[in-house]
Order: sequence, then C-alpha cells, then structure tokens
Amino acid sequence: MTAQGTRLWLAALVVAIAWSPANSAESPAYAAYAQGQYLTALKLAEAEAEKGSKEAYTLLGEIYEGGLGVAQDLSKAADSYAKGADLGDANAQFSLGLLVAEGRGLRKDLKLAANLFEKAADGGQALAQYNLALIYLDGKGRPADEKKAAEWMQKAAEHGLPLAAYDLGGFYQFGRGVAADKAKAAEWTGRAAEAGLPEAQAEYGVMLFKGEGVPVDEKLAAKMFRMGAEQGNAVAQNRLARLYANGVAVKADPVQAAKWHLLARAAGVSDFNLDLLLAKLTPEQRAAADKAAEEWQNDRLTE
Amino acid sequence: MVEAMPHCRLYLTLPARPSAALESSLAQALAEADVACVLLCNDMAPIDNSWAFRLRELTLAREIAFLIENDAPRAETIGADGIHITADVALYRSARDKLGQLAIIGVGCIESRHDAMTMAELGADYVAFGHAEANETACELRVELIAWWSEIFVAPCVAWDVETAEEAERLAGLGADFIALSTAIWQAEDVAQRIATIGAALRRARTAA
Repeated sequence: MTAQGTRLWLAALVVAIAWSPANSAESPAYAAYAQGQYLTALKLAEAEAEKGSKEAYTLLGEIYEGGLGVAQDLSKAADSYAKGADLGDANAQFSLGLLVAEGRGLRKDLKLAANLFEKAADGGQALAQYNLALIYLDGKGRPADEKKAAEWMQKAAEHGLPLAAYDLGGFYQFGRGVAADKAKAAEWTGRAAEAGLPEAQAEYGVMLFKGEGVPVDEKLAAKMFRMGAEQGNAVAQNRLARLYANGVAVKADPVQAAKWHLLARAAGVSDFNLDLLLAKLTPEQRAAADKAAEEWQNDRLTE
Repeated sequence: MVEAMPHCRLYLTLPARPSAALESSLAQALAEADVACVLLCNDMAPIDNSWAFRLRELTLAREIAFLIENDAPRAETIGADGIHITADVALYRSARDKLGQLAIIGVGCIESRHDAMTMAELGADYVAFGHAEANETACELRVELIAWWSEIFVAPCVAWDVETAEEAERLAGLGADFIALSTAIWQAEDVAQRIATIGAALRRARTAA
C-alpha cells in the first residue's frame, strides 16, 4: 500500500569513517599506536618521520587530529598530513583532504580537497575513491560528472567498502553514470547488505522479495529484513512487520508484527494497514507488543 | 528514555475543492504531526483528478494512507489505498469486489450501532462514529458509541468530525483508534499548528483498557 522505500543519497559530502592505519606492519610507532600507547607512538613516529618515513607523518597527523595522549591540535595534524601527503602517502592525502573539505584546522577548500582525494584515490585509497565519487556526484569541488562518479564508486566498491557498494547499487538501479542494470543493482546492493549495512539490507530484501534483478527468495528477503530491522532500519522494520502480519516467509504473529510496526512508526515509517492490525489486538497482545518494542529500544540504548 | 507508543493516531479529511493554501497547510501538517491516513471527501464540489493525484503523491512520499470518499472507480484510477463509504451493505459489497481484499474500506456509521455491527461483520476495515453537526448531544453520543465499541469489538474505530484537542484526548482515552478531524479545520488559521496540538494531545491519552 505504501511507497517503495526510496534510496536516500548520502546527504553529507564527506563521510569520515574510523580509518585504521593500513601500514601498521613493521613500524614500532604503529605497533605502539595500535596498543593505545600514544605517547610512545608519538615519540617513535617523530623519530621515524625525521628519517623520512611518510607513514610516520600520517601517524603523527592521526595522533594530533584525534588528540590521542596529547591535546588535539588540528593545525599540527594538517601539517603532518601535508608532509606525509607530499611524500606520497595515500592515507595522508586522504586525511588532509577530509580536513580541507570540512574546513577543520585549515580553510575550507573543496577544490583542494578534490585534488587530494584524487591523489589518494589514484594510490588505491578506497575512502578517497568513495569521497571523490561523491564530489563528482555533487558537483562541488569538481564539475558534476556522473560517469566519473560511477567509475570511482566502482573502484571503492571493488575495494570492499560497503557504503560504496550500496551507492554503486543505486547508480545501477537508476542509471546514473552507468546504464541502468537491475541485476548489477541487486548484486552490489546485496554485497553491501552482506557486509552489514542496514539500508542495503532493507533494499536488498525488497529486491529479493520482488525478484528485481535477482531470483525471488522470500526466505532470504525475510532474513535481510530481520538483520536490517535489528540494526534499527525503519524500512526493514516495517517490511518485517508486514511479513509477520501476513504470515509470509515467517509464521504469522500479530504481536511480532505489532512490535516491529511500533518501532518503525516511532522512526517515521507510517503504515495504515498495520495500524489497523494494531487496533485489532487484544489488550494482552497489545501490552506484549508494547513491552517487546520497549525492550528492543532499551537493549539498543544500552549497547 | 523510551518514547511512549501512542495508541491513537490522526486521520485527516480534506474537502474536494482544490486549494493551494490547503495543499501547503497539509504538507506542513504531515511534516509536524503523526498522521495515519488522509481522506479526500466527496463533498460540495466534484473531485478533481489532478487534485487527487497531487494529494496521492504528497501522502505517498510519507507513506501515509490515502482514501477517497464513496468513489471506488476513482480510488482505483488514482491509486489510492482505499475508500471511505457510507454504511450500506450493497455499496460495501460492490466496492470490495472492485477493489479487492487488500484495499482499505472504512465505513462511516455516524450514530448507528446496528450499521457498525453489520459493516464490521462484513469485513469493513474500520467503522467511524460521529458527524459534522457537533452539538452537545451528538458529541455525547459519539463518546458513548466509541466507548461501547472499543470495549466489545475488535474492528478498529474512528471518532469522526473531531474539532478540538480536548475532544480528541477524551475519545482517544476511551479507545478510539483514530481521530478524524473535521474538514472545517482547514478554514482555521495556523491549521498545521492546530493539527500538531491535537496530535500532541493524542500522545498524552492512554486507553482505559
């Protein structure tokens, strides 16, 4: 009865994701950092940097940016990243790009950010590839170019970045920068879903349910909805509620239907049919559903 | 702190006559209040298809159910979720035949216990009590009917033509599943604000059950 869940494009241009340093191997500074010994890491990194290690500059940048064991100092962070970037470290180029894109510690400059992302992207840095794709999509910092956006998104997705796989699925679904291709849309959305992205789980569930670009598989669809629902995706919660309401792929269970509907509704997904189901519950069933929904929310808060 | 799960939600009714002012008030109301369903009434003026389509889009974007009054063919054309009809067995049967089991068919039973029981028996998705001439006697009767119905019957009930937050809260407390606001509300100033206020009153109300 309701609108098919529409894919929400990521609103934020730049998505900062906890980035674990890729070059931890063999460096005593990174080893100390990985163990949370930040002051030791700082000393070691300073020494390694002096010897010309580009990764050490990147690490210094991370320590100052995060305020790890030292006071946060964004201009020092930017300075260290810049040195690492000049020496060709892709992580430093990416991190400096983020600071410049957000205007943290430096004047905001999307063109410069795009240049830095591109360098890092060329060096195989997946998050930089992803952000560069978003820049081409958005047309800020670079002229909008959906084809280039799709190319970089593809690279980031192939590196296994779930967000990139999800967005690439969207490109194929709507034919943005690539020819529309339902099978590829399902494949990439499915990869993001398998990697645990709740939005992707909700959408992949819909694709499996309707057989869009993938053979119909109600059981797997139900599993996807459940995983997305448990992670708090309201569309997945709504679809799971419908399955319980109608006894599709799961045993009909009005209390479970009501529980997931209440949660989805609280998160803004309305469904009049499920409201009607809710109204038909006995007071005992309704109380059980309220309790189950509340417990689910409490569990999430304490996680 | 877990947000309380409301037991009762808003149901908006719209006049048939297209109005840009109303459309923008509606958009605002849908953004600010927790609305379950929107009904396009078949009153005064004939329903205009382009108006109906616009309302369909507006509601679909928020996954809010959209019903049309007494016009199953038009509901089908517009892609509405269903219809709201007057209590009439033949009318109900032909609408159900046309729209199928998945469509929502709600019935306005006004003040008749007999109609409500008959229509619920037939499979109406909800029954509604109340009417526009809201004098004191009519309001008291509506209160009585809502309390009676929700105590005994399973089918959802809608309190019809409600105008104030006080009434809404009282009816919700007695077990109304939905509060349908009168079409007259759209003539008020700050409609969206008024609707949001009534919505907030519903959140306060807890059923007696």
